[in-house]
Amino acid sequence: MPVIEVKHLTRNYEYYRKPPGLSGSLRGLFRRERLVAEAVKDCSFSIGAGELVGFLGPNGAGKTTTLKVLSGILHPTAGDVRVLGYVPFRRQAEFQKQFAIVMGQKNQLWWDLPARESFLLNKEIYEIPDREFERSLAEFAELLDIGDILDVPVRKLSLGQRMKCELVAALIHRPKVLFLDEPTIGLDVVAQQSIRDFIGRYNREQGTTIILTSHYMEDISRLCRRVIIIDQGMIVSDGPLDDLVRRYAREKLLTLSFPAGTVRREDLGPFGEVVTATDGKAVLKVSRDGVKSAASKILSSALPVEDILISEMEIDEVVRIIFGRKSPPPL
Amino acid sequence: MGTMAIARKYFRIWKQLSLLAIGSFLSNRIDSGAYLAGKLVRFGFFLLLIVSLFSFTDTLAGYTKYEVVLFFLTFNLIDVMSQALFRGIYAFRFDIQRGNFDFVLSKPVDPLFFCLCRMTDILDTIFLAPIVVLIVYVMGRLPVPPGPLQLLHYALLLLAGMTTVLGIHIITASITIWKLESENAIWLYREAMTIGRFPPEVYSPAVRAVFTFVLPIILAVAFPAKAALRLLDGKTTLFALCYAAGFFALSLFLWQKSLKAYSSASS
Repeated sequence: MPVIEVKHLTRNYEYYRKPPGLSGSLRGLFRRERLVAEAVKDCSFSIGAGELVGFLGPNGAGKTTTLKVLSGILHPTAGDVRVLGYVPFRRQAEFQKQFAIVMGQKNQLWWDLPARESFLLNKEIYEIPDREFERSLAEFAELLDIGDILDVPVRKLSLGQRMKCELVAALIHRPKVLFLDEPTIGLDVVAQQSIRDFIGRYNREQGTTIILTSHYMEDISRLCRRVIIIDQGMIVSDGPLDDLVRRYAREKLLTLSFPAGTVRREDLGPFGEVVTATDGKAVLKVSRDGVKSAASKILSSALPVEDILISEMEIDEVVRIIFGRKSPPPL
Repeated sequence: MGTMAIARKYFRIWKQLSLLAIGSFLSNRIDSGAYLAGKLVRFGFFLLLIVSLFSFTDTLAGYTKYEVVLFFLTFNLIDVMSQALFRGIYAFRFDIQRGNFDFVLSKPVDPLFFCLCRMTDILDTIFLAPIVVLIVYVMGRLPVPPGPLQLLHYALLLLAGMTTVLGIHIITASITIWKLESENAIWLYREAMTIGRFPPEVYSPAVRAVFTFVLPIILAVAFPAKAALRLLDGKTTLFALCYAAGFFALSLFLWQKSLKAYSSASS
């Protein structure tokens, strides 16, 4: 039985358009043009226990709105949503004790006070027994290496430290389902790596069902085997990351190494589209069907190739292709 | 979960929220000191104004000096109690616009309780003791001091007044959810509340009617003082209690409707 089940979810927002300038503002006092935006349109998917699923999409695609509906923060306009068998927007305490949401751009910690104080508040809200709370806090503090900052006011912490504390605040009650909305946004690469490692490890060890949205493809490609792509409120693709690459990337990459100064860019043109050509290294884009023959031709040519590597396109590139096209290619 | 267990849970949450709020206030010493000083100055000056007025006249709208002071102190008692207990509403717009309210909605805690009580104001609670002492003193100086029945009557209407003021806070919070750009609803209430500093008879009948029935400030803050002064009959008292209950029920209804309409801040 799926942990998360979404059937034909639609969520609309109402907003007003204000004409520019003072006259527009005055007119807006009496009459406003009311508009409706469809943030999520007829989305359906289900997620099983222990899955770590990536949610990909450009800004405004509907990722965060979907997570907010799954969390019960927003009421759906239409459709049926169930998480752990509960209807989220009913906001039943039994359900709320079993999930958590982390939003990279928002803060649940008290700004002026040490993070430990906010954890204590969550302890009371989630009714966590003293011993269990202390054990969880000690474990997370060690895993995330934040033992020495628990008593420092949150406003004095770096963004990376703050995000680690946000994760602890979300996980202190050991949720079965975790929604992570851009948890690595704005972090430096070291902090990103640290958070990413923690999420992966937590998912493996606890079996927690996780939905992760991120703009960093590294997060998705390292953590998620399954990816749901959403664009303009609709699900464009749902499946294993490898399938996604195979389905959308019509080309593969050939990376060539040769002695510096021996090969010119125009020498490579006949074998494929030259993506980059620096001193001693070049990357060619070659059609998926013709990659073997192109590699064979390069090796049998007069080019002084020292090494050749065939690889899939970067996931960023694949996503750019997906968001650039109007309809998916046939399977 | 039984009622007692729920009450215990919410008391523990309130205690922790209060500790956090106190910690937060104390971490901003200069700001907190200035806030406290500002409140003292406002309270002191208004008391001085009343005393000064009575150096030129014996009565104001038919009330003696101590009777007028009782109205002022009762207004302050309700105002300070509501500010102390429901201070969270003043930060509610910020929480809504920043999207922090999302976290509240995702947790196993009543969002209304959390938003109202998330900033119990220690600085306002400091004021409560001197106000209560002054009320007791002033009641003793009244031409006819209130007896046990009048004191009970006063306490009952204070409770109705607090319920009404709580309802006003809930309605302003609901408006904030509905209209994300709304930032002045609570300040409209704050300004309107000052009408309760004087006995209602100093205002015209039309103003009295508006602030009794539409925005029931007079009902909340002047009726208790009138009860202590033996000026409120049983019928009016019953009306005040029913009105407070109805107003509170209406505010809860609007709150639930607003939660359903909540659209959250964009990420």
